[in-house]
Amino acid sequence: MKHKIAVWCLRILGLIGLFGAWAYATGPGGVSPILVPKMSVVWEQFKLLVTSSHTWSSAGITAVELLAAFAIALVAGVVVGFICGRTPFRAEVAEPLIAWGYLVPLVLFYPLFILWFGVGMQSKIAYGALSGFFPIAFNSLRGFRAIDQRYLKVARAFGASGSQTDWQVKMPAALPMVLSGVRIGAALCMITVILAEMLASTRGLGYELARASQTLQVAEAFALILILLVFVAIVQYAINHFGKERYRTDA
Amino acid sequence: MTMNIESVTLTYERAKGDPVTAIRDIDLEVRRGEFVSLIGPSGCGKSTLLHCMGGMLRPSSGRITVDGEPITGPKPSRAAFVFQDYSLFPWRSVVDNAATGLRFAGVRKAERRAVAMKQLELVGLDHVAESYPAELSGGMQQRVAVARALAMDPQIMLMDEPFGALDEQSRRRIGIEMSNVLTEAEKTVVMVTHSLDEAIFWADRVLVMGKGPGRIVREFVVDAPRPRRLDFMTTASFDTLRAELFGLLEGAPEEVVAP
Amino acid sequence: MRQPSAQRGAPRQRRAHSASLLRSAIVIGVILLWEILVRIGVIDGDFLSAPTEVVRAMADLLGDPDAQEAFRRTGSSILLAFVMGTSAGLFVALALGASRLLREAFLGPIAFVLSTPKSIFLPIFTLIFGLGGMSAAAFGAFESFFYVVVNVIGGLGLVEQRHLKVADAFGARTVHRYADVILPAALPGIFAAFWYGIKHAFLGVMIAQLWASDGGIGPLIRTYSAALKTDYVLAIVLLITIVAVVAGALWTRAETRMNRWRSTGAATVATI
Repeated sequence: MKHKIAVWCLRILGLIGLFGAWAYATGPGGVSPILVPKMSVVWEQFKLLVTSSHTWSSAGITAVELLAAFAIALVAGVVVGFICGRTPFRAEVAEPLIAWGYLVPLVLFYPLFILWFGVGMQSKIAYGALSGFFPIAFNSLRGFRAIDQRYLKVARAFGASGSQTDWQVKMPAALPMVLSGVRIGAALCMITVILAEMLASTRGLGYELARASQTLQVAEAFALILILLVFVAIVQYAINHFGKERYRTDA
Repeated sequence: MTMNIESVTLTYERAKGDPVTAIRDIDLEVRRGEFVSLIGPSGCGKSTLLHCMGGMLRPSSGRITVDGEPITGPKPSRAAFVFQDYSLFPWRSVVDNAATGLRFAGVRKAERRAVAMKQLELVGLDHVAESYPAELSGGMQQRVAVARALAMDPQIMLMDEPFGALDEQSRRRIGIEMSNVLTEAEKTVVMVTHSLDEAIFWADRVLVMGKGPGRIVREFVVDAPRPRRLDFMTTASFDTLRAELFGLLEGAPEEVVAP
Repeated sequence: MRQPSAQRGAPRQRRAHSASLLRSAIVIGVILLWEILVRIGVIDGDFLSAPTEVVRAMADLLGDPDAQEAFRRTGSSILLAFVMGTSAGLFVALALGASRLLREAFLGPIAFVLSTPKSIFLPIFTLIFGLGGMSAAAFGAFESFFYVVVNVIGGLGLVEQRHLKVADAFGARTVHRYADVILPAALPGIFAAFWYGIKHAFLGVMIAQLWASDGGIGPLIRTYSAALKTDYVLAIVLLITIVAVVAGALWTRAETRMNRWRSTGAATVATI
């Protein structure tokens, strides 16, 4: 109990330090409000933005892009992982290919995605889906290839059909590994979708942030950063609680 | 060399609840070249006592001395441990593991490897000196741990259920092997064990500990010269002693014969 | 069913061999198909240039002094970002590693920022550091910092109490505790920290330069893609990808060698 209190005291102290530095910079520190706006101004902007319907529709667009990108990455990743993990030979062929895809700095492809899919939602969805795909496929492949042979032996011994083996034995056996890939993939989808919105787009929270900062609406930009942090926290909460498995396997 | 343990008590402070007395008023003398085994139910503090002897734990009261000099902390050249879970460093080769204590003591590389090799020969593992622990079986790993302790040329060896993690057969085989090695090296040994057979077969003296708080309840002398041969386990004196120990530990009347 | 281990070696090696053959065939096949589709006009060359054109553009780029200058500027920003981010990360990780209280208080928030799109802080960096190389380097350092902290702490978590106990029992001094127990046990985490440190220093610098910069690879890519010089964009991307993949392969090999003693695969903590 005492320990918990100390932990929270330290955290609050950290926050005080952060906000204290901010207050000092804009007050006695004499940093120009064009660079760092006053806290009170940012707070006013924040309230203004939260009550505006435009902000909500921007958040909605970002959320839709994120969900669509994630859904594509999820389905494609698990299916590819499952198909490639079915035999040791296929796994051996596919694993390095997917690992290389994972290593490619996808950020650099972004201008090409704009070229191929335009500045609208499609390019964000495609870009997010691609970056979420690799970790999901990689971990699914590993999960399916490393299924403990004992489980499969039991399935055969007790007369499971092919699809029964797939759905009732292989899936649950590989699930913990698959889910860890899904969480990484979801986080990557979020990171890339927001980045893509910031780099080139016409709508969405990331676009709003880019617009505000490029037109030097500094207070609005800071307020949007706060809103994005809240958005991210909600998504992260969802990711962390997404299908929490209650068991572990050796896979 | 004589180790004297005089009315040693160790009490643990706990975060919640009352302090626990692990061992109370232990008096014991371990003489040069002697092999003492400590046996008793789980939680009787036998491992705690062993850790006190090695300076890994400080008694709350009482004192432990070796030739009159009090023990204040771990000192492997005086008392070297063999732990139950071997705890070899997985990132070092077998010979470097055996040389660990010498390395800490600042012995030069060539010299400490030579000493370690000699100990590995003694435990019959010189052929895997350059392997890593993960490549060895549990029994081999524990023999490396014995070599690591022997390499310190300690005045006393402290063995904490050294073969507890092995299967019955390798346990007996390695046990006999190690028992011979230690006897020939004329080492003074204190060993904690759960196994009646081990406690009797190895030891000159068997100390039986009791629970709540831990204390020594009985002492048996095993009157047979060491090293012993395996058929010592089939003699009448071994059987009698075993039955007596069994009765004492299981709290049953003494005429009940062990299965 | 698994074969007994004695007989497993040869077929497994043969399988690995034919797998790598098939893999090469797939890669070559895809490149050929891509070339053909562009040549016969199924794919518009403005949107996706043929591999031969990309190779030609790559040769062009390597000889172009402007491109060389851009690569040099980006490279030095990455190096600066890596040094700043990693040293700050190591410092904080060791402080957190030393105190359980600090760790419990701040590891959670750090992990939160780790999986946050750090790009949302880009405007702040541009405001403070401007458009030059320092801005990109600072953002790269910011990106890599969190990965270094989390991985080093993960590495310290691999240190086992029983090995420290052996060290104590065999008379280790403090320097031995660190050199002989803590460092080797934590090595996978430290290794991972350096890898993710350099990787994210690189990504951070690239992101910052794509966002806003007055020089370096980012603006180069922006210019080429705005001019529909897709072959040049692909050439840059391919060059950097090759460097990344080769660096990744070398890293894996070095890591495997360093951790030869470990029976299971080395644990890396953050994999994004």
